[in-house]
Amino acid sequence: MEKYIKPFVDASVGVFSSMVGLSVTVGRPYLCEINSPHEWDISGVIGLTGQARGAVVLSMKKDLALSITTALTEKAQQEINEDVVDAVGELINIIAGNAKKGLESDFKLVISLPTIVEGPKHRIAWPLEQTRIICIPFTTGDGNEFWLSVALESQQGA
Amino acid sequence: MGLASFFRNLITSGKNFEDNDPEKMEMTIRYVLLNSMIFVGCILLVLFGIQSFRAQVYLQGIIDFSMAAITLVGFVLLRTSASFLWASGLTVISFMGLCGFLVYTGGVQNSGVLWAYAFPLLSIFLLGIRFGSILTSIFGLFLGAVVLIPGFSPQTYERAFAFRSIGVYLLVTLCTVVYEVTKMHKDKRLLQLTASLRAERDQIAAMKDNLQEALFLLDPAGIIQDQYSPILETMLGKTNLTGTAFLDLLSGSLTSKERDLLKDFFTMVIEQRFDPAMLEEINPLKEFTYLVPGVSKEKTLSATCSRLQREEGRVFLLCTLRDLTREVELRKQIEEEERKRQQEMRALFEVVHVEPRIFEDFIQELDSQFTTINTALKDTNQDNQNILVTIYQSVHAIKANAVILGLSDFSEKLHQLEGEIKRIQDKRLPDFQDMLHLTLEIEKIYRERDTFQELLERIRSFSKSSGQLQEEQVLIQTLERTIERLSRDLGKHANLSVKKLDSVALSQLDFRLLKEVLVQLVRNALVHGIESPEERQQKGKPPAGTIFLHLEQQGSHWCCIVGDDGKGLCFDRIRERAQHLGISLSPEKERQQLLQCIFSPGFSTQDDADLHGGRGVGLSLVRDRIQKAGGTIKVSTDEGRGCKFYLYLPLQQKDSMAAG
Amino acid sequence: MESKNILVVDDSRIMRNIVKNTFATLNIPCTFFEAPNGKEALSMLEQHPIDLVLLDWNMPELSGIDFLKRVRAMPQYRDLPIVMVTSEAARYNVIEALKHGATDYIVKPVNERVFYEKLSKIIQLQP
Repeated sequence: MEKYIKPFVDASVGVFSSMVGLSVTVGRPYLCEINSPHEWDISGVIGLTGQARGAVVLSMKKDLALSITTALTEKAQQEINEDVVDAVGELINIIAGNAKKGLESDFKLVISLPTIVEGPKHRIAWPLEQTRIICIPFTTGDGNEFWLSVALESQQGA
Repeated sequence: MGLASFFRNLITSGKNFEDNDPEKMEMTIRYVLLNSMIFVGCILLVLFGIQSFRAQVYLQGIIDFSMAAITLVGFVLLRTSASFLWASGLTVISFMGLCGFLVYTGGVQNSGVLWAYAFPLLSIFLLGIRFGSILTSIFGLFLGAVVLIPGFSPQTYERAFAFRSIGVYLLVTLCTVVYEVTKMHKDKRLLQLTASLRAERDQIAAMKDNLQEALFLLDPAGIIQDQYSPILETMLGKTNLTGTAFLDLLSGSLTSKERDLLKDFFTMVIEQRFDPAMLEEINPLKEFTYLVPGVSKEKTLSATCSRLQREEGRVFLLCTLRDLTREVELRKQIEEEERKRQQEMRALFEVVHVEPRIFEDFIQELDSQFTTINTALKDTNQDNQNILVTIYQSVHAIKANAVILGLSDFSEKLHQLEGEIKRIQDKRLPDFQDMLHLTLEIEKIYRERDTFQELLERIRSFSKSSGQLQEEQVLIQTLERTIERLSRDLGKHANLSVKKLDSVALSQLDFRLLKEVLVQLVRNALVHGIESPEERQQKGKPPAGTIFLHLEQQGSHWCCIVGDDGKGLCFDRIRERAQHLGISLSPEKERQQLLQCIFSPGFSTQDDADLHGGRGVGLSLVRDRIQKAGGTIKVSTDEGRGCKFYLYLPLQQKDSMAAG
Repeated sequence: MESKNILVVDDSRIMRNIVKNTFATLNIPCTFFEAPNGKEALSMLEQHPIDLVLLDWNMPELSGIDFLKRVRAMPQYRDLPIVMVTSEAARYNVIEALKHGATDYIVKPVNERVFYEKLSKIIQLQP
């Protein structure tokens, strides 16, 4: 499964660096129970279908979401509004779309439109019957954190 | 070129027509016909010419000779690539001229009219029905004019003669036409039939060639016939199979007895002595291993055969051959997996038949260890090397439990995971990829836990256990099991002796912690302390060792003593190991220091690690756990006689599951 | 060069702005038209003469690839330059878009240099 994660990690690093202008470092991955409590304020979810099934989620706290949106719109953002939702959605969309290239030789995937969930202790509906997902923390150059969670299962026959 | 082929060449004008095309054959016939006519005609005309000259009828003679010349021209024309119509047209028209002249002039004794009867035949056969009939009709009219119209020609003919000659002419024409027309119809019909036969044959060939099953025919002697599916060659790994005896091909794969059996089987099929369904049941080739010649490859093939009767009462065996290798492989895989599952299930049942409570305990332990592991992973304050140690200890603890419960597959996986962790630890700077790999491996182990949980739920409904087990009994049973398993594996013999087990202590202390630590110490005693029965007997000790347990309050602490009557700690070995690891020792405090050494992570006097010991983690884990719980650990040893571990834990212990 | 009409199609407003800003660095005089999905892009196309379409792939209502297929089926738009600007980076996606008539393909995140290299050529081919 690990080679499936690398394209997402690379895409995340790439997107943050070229679009938001933030250099990020990837931290130590760990396991997350599917409905365990978290500290995230906003998450962008993209479903993956085709020759593999799963989802990829980008989660972060309000401050980072606001500063990202500010950077992208060149307008100061104070609260989570439709621009912030737009920005997070676009970020996860680009991460997923770019990651597809790294997975080309393994499967052909179709990505869904992004869904944004926000609010304290928001629940993310994962499409698989797993109970745990891989959660990868990232740290930005200015000390913020975001998390990328990935669950992916091949649908191809033996 | 032999005489026959020379003649052949002459008569077909050197033109080579393929025999299989009916149209071309038609043409060949025409060429042959015309050429023959030219020869015969030419010879005759020359003879007539000579005769005419001898008879001094010079005009006649000249005409004869010129006609002969014309026919030769025709012959030459035929040999060129000019259309047949030129040569035939030339010949027919000149012949028409000749006949016309003879009819007109009467010829010798009025034999001129006789020539007319050859005309319809020649013109229709050579020029085909259309042109032939046209010319025939023209000539017919001319003939009619000659014989019927008085004064038209120099000869006079009687009415009766005239009618008869016209009548016969008509008869010849009619017969020729009818013959030609029916022949044309027959040819057309034949062409249609051939075409449809060809189409069918191509269809069947396509089907046969594309089947994944190879079809082939064997004659009663078992020889492969020439029409077989090309895939047969691929399957058997041999080309040019026509004429080969099928049984010979199998000589490398079957014994001679088996082949004789096959021969008998084939005979039975041919002789139709038995019901086909029964024959299929006893088919010895239903599934057999075939050794591909030349390469060391084995395939699993399946062959069937049935009787086929063709024209003239010839009997054949229609056989099919299928390659089952892949199917068989998959089947074996599934069987293997099923077997492993069954094994695991049996192990679990074995355990749980005794104490589902113990199994439940095992799972709870597993969960608590996982929480430890995951918390460590999440802890951004710890660097990778530190958490690797934590993770290792947890995995080691789980493994110990798994071994006790007899989950050999699971403990093996854990043992491998330990190896992985060690490998990553040895890298000075483990990177993201390594940690990711580790996390994923842990997730796999975690999934096994889910399986166990499921099983436990199912087994619970069949559980025979009555009532709840006291913690004391769980502890004692666990330790006894540990000893039993381990002594069996190590070929040693030991018994647990519980001197005193204060129940207040048990209820106050962190049960999980206590169990983990005691199990580790008991294992240690058995692996490193207790000697083999022979050794013990040599030393005058009873062949079975004793591991004793004592738990009671001592002042402001709970004191737990775990001791054994084994060979005690060997200072020489410890010193050696310490020096090897570069640990410095001062002479005054040497004994103390050496005793402390044994609690260091990575310290083990055992040379290589196995499921039971040698990684050098057990005692360090114990010390860690005790220290985290606010206690201390001491050891005292009597070389040759035994070893005792003293655990001191503070009195006010909350039953908390320390998160790592 | 006279002013060009550029149609930017993307469901993200932020992205449309980024595309417009990046295009502006080409210094080509232009008027921008926007649509948040393929369906509205089609009506924009009917209402205004467009010189270049910058098209996203994943959108609600009508996706980029479906918009592309429909537009290419209309003879008057056979030669309309349509450049995909999308996060879909996999080769099979690129091939599919080009097969259905995309003039060129740009993978997000967008980059001024790529825009310049690909689009200045295309826009200058227009009369």
